[in-house]
Amino acid sequence: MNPATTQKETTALMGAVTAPATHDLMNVLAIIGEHAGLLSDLLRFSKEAPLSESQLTKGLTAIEAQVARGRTLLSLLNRLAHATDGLLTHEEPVPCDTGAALEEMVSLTQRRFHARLENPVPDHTITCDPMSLRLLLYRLVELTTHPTQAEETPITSRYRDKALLITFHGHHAVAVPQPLVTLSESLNTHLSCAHHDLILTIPAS
Amino acid sequence: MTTHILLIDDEQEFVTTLAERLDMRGFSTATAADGESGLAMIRETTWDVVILDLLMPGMSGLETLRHIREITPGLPVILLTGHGSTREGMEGMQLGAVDYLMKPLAIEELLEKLKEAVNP
Repeated sequence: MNPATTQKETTALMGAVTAPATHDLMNVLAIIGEHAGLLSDLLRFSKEAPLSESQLTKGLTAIEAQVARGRTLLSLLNRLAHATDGLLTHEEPVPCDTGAALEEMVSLTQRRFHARLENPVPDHTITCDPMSLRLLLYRLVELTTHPTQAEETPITSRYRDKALLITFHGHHAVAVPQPLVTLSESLNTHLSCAHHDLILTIPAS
Repeated sequence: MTTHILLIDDEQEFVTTLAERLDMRGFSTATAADGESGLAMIRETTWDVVILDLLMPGMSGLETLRHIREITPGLPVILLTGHGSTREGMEGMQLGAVDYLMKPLAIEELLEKLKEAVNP
């Protein structure tokens, strides 16, 4: 365990990330259920006019899209669940893919924070405590969320001097709380602010 | 007499399909994608019942419910939740919702709740 992170914080993180993701999964099932129900209704209520090809195609296309959405959510949840596998067999810290961690935190909490990855995060593996890295990313997404959630928070990433720079494009001037600075330093990363943007610099391990 | 239902849910795919299924059963429905636009529709038109999702971006379902209570205290509201927890549903009942349902929905259960809400 990273000394800047408590067991309570990482346990709470799991709940904070899985709650909105499982809510989304409920919605996926609800939409599939409604489309399947609608097709069933069309067969039942439209005896004189049989189910048309376009109605059938529309329903099936919508169901397939929701299956794809559900598969993505489950893949990310599964990857999150396996993030700590290395801790069981290795001494801390372990190799962590920062891009995968960021994608998990942004996509799984999308319903809650409305953040959006503007570009695919380049591969950048560092050696650290995997849950502390995710806690830091989660807190940064939370910190830069629009106050009323009326607007999305774009997140961009790029390489500079062998370091990965992740920019959270906030909506207001951001003051980084000291515990976050401490957490960032414990992971050998660096936080800086520029106008409304918050920049996390992750050097190569 | 036709029952007029307003459905408020940010999951457009879900809410429009559910509305279509209710229309097929003789209801008259309209949809709103968030609390603010739902409240605007409640101020403009008379509804018999509102079906309201609890977890929405911006104004939450519970906050929307509080405003509905101020605008039209007697309007029956049925809550929808995707939560595994029923805590928000219970809180909504305390705020005056007539009932709450978990997603995914069973249409028969919703029809029963609508009947109870319109004819208490």
